[in-house]
Amino acid sequence: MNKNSLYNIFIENDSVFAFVKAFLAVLSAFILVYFILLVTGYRPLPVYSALFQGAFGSRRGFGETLLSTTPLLFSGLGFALAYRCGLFNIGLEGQITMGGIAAAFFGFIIPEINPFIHVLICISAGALAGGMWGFIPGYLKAKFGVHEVISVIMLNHIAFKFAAYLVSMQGPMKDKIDDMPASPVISESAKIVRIVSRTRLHWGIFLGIVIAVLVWFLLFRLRLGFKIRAVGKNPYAAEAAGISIKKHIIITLSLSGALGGLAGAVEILGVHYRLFAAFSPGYGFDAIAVALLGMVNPIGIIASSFLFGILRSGSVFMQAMYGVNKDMVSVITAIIVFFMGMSIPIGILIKDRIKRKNHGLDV
Amino acid sequence: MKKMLKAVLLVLLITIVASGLWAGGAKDADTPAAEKKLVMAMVTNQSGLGDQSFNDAAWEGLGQAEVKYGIERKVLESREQAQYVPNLSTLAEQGASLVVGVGFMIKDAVAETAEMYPDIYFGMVDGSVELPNVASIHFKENEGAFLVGAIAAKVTTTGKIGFVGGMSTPVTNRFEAGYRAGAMTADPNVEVFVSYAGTFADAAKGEEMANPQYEQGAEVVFQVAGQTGLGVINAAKKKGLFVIGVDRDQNYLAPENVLSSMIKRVDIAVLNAVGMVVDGNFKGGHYYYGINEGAIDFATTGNLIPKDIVDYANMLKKKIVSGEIKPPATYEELESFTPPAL
Repeated sequence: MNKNSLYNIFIENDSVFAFVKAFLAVLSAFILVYFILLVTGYRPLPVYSALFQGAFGSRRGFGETLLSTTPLLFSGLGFALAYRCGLFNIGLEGQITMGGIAAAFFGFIIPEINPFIHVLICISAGALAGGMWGFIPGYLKAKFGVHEVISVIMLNHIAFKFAAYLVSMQGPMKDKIDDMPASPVISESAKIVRIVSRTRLHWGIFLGIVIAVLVWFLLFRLRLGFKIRAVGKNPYAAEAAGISIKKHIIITLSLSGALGGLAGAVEILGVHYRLFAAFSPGYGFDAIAVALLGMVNPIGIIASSFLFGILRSGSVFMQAMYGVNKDMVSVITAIIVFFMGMSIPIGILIKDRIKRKNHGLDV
Repeated sequence: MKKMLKAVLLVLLITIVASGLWAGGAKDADTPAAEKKLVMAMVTNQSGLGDQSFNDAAWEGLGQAEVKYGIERKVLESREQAQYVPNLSTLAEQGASLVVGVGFMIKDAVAETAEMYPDIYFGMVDGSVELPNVASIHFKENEGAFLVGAIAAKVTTTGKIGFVGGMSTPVTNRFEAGYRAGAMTADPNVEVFVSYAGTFADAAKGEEMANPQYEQGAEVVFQVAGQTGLGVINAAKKKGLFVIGVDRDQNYLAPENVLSSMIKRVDIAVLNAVGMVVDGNFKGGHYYYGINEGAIDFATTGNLIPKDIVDYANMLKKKIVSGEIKPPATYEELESFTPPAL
């Protein structure tokens, strides 16, 4: 067997290499956090084991892990799709919010009907609302050259405040009976059915996986996906080849927003059952890290969103077992996210190193 | 290179194995034969511990229970709405005898978890959950707000006072109604400026809300605004005027300016809930805490309130306890409230 074959597998097979990169990124993060925990007076290994115990140790814990994976999966896909077209959609949080608003509205305004139809209506409404929130910056960019990052950040704020207004004391969607600043609870038939008893896990995760496969199919097997990627790789070359940049920017951002809208709709219909102003704790921003760690590949994103799910659900146990306070938990997850973002430079570093070796520059 | 890789892999393997061992060993060591204490726990809302307000007060209550009943206290802080249920369930699964949810936003989660764990007792501060294993704890904030309203109206020399709320919610409206009624009782011609910041978490916004009230002549402003309220206190400090704190005695934040604080003793309510569990007579239902229960009061720290006004407030307090005065709790009740002839 060739001496270098193992390395060559790493760098020549893209998906294997992607996995190695992501793995190294996560590993380095855990090593750094190890020392931070040590310095701040925690015993790192038990804390880590609590993290995994929390995420996998019980049926409920595992359910929570998959539950937190779900919105990240949808929004990660949304970010990846836009990214493939060369667009930086940092507006997913707003698109999630709009999707949640629409889903909640159709959830409680329609009385009990066939659950399948009801959920379908709410989810479609959510995707449509999110899609609209993606269409606006797409249109602005295509028509007037407004940079999408600026417009989506502004649209984020509009969405947040709009949601807050809707459920405020005088807001039109505020529940009249309940004290809480929230919308009325949605009809039974609008709730996404839970899979396992005594956990909150619902069917949304499977919808997410199906959508991931669909997005993969769109990107890599359909003509539209090819065009989207062509615009992303080199817009002017694409245009020279007869692919309209403007049209594909609008389509991609609308689809990306629709995926965000789906995330919001599924979160409302499967977890909260009513609209809260800040029901999404930043899934739209985590989506960026999820998508990049997943190598902006839908299948990779299934894996990376799962990893983020582990962090989210496991952190509860870290707090419960060892009193790691909530800000420390945020620091730890942030460092891991940071290193995940580093997976690309890490990859370049390895490739470079192996190339040198293959050329006999390193013994 | 290959050697290095091998070495790294080996270290990794050892680490992973060791972590398993360590964790396993630690678990055995952590639960020695020592007597098993009852665990009483709480889940904060998104403000978390260190809010100088009711999360801290609830945690204090559990601290007092540690001393009084020899229990062990535990807390899980929530960072987001979706975390309430896992936090509550984790504590329930870890064998806590009582789990207290703090803040009205956690209400749905308490209802959901309490239904899932019918053998465990739950407390719900500032919200109603109709289940046999949940004690819903309510405070008659209107009674305390009535007293500080009267104090504010008596202290101001301009006939004008202010009120800054966080978000407009039934709870903050209850404060407002009580405050206005108290002010009206002390001085029928008093003018009360009211504004809501729209957030409990923005100190700068609090200052922004308070400044115009002070500039229009209010010499005392009552803040019911959580973190936002810290900005109101700052504004008072800068203007050299008075502010009234909320939930806990906030005089230490600005000893010259915090005239009084309307105290809401969440700790007493939590301590009582623990007591019910320890004594084995826990009953679900609604518990109301007011002046009579010693859970609502006004602070006099710093002696900034003139003696005769303190006496006046204490006189009102007695009349509230005896039922002679009924401070309004809603806008509708305020509407029909007529100041009692004293």
